[in-house]
Amino acid sequence: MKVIGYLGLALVVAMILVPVYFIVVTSLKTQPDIYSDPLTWIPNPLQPGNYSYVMETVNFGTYLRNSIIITVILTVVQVALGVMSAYAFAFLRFPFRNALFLVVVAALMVPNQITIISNYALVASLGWRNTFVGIIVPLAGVAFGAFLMRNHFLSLPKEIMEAARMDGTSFLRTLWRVVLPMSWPTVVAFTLITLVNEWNQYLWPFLIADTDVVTPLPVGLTRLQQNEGLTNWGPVMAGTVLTTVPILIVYLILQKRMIKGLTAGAVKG
Amino acid sequence: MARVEFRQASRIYDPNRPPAVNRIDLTIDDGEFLVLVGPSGCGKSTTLRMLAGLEPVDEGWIFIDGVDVSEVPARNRDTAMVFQSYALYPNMTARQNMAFALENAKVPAGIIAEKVAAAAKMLELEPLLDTKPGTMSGGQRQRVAMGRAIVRDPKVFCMDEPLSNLDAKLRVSTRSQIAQLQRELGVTTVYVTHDQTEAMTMGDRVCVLKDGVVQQVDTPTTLYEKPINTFVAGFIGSPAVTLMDGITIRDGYATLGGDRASDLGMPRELVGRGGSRVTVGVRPESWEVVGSGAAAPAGSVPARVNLVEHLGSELFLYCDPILTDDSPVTVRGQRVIIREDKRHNFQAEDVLHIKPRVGECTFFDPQSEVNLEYVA
Repeated sequence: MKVIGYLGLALVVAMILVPVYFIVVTSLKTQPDIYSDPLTWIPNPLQPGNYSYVMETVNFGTYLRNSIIITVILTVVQVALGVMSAYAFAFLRFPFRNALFLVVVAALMVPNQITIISNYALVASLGWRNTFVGIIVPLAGVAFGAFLMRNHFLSLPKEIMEAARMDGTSFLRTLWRVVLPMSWPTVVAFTLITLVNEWNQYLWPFLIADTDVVTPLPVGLTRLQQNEGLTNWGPVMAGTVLTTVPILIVYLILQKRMIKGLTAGAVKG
Repeated sequence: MARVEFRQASRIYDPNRPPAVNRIDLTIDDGEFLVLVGPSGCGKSTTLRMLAGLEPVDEGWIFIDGVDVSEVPARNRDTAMVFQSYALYPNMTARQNMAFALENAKVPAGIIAEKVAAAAKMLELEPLLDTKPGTMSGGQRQRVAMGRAIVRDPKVFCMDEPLSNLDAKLRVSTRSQIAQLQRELGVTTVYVTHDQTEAMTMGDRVCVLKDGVVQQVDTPTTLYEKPINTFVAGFIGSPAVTLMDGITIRDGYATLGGDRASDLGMPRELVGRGGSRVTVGVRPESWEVVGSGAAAPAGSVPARVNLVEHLGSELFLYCDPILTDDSPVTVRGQRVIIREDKRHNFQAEDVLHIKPRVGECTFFDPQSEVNLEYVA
């Protein structure tokens, strides 16, 4: 029984790691080596030149800069809006609160492909094509974050909120001094999900960015692919690796902060 | 320093159901320690939370120092609350927890430091000031929660079962500490508990609630000696009072067996107030064991010992009364509890002859269940 369990684990790990491994080794292979049959597991000869090729052929620096701008702004906006709207939905009493929240949740259920055409028409009519604004604004909706954070806020001990009320804490100060300090793991998780999600945005920036000026990395990679009729997979994979590395570093830094137990000692039993 | 007054105050969660707190009239004097006590769901916590401002007052008024605070938000009432769960801010040290309310009120830092230091000294919290609640024991957290209330110098302390999460020994010592602290500070205090030992030992006065209605507000001794009805009689005192229904009054005497030998000593002025029958309450210490075995002394009732509870200095006998089939008397719960001295030796299955001590019984109207002493 135990053996089967470990085999299952190994299988799942392999399903995730093998493709990643192939991306990495392919990025170091020469063109003939990539198409060799049977396939080779170790690059022979080693071709680190793929990486410099990426740097030289496409505007990798510009794409990286654009990706960082788009991702950082979107993440800051989404986390700020998500936390604030969730706080309002959780603790502020106002008419139609639950109905409004249902609308927010319903927004989660609409695939964004459906709204893409109308969004495009709107953004184009505003003259926002090929601008950061055009890429960022339609992506800045926070249904997921509002949903996640609200449910987390409601799980906080009720007495703490009451204690804050008794202590005369203002509504916003309660958010900063009482609620958020107990919520960092969830906020970090939310931030991380948003970061990865926005870093990997493809379809919308692809539609809006016609030139390199605002093109982020994932869209830029496709430019690499179409460069010369026959796709040269070595540089494409090298570009993929380069695209993954920054977000991987961010992930490694942030995941350590996703520790549990920040409410320890707040309420007993 | 403040006088608190509930005037017909009600909390109605659902108009189709009885109110959680039903038209409470209650005055708490300046500096008084009032304990709200009652079984689960009697509305004692809700009453306290209404005073603190955490629950709305749906009908009626609450006054603090003569000012109607029914519509005043919690932060402006100048009441401080100690929660059952302590509700400390987990991200702040003990010092920050205590200072937080004062910082919110924009009190100068120097004064805050002074007040926190004074409270910490009073509660022996000094070594813990820079510790966070997560690493503290239950008793330490409880003291920080107390400190948080004390530094504010509020008009009223509201305490919601602050000891119920402590272990038995700590509860006893903290109980007296809180009572002493309250006397030193002289702050009007409303204290909610379901533990009647706390109610009896801590409060200047005790308010017994049932289903959101005040039953009786009086000193602990009066509550014990002269309960207003059978509910209060049954709730206050542990083990519980024995209540006997169907005691007949004949020729101006309430008797257990019908003859003068079993006279219960019902005061003459009470005889006229009830009907021909009364309900009688007898506390465990008011039973007297007058004999055992086959010989039955006049006027006694036989009872079989079910369980003997040795508490060291005293013991409690849980007995089944043996009543004749034609007796009009019934015993509630079919159980008589007797307190006896440790020097006596009793065994389960012993048959004892017991008799209430004359002058120590309480007499209730069988219909209204009200103590006849309170019937005009």
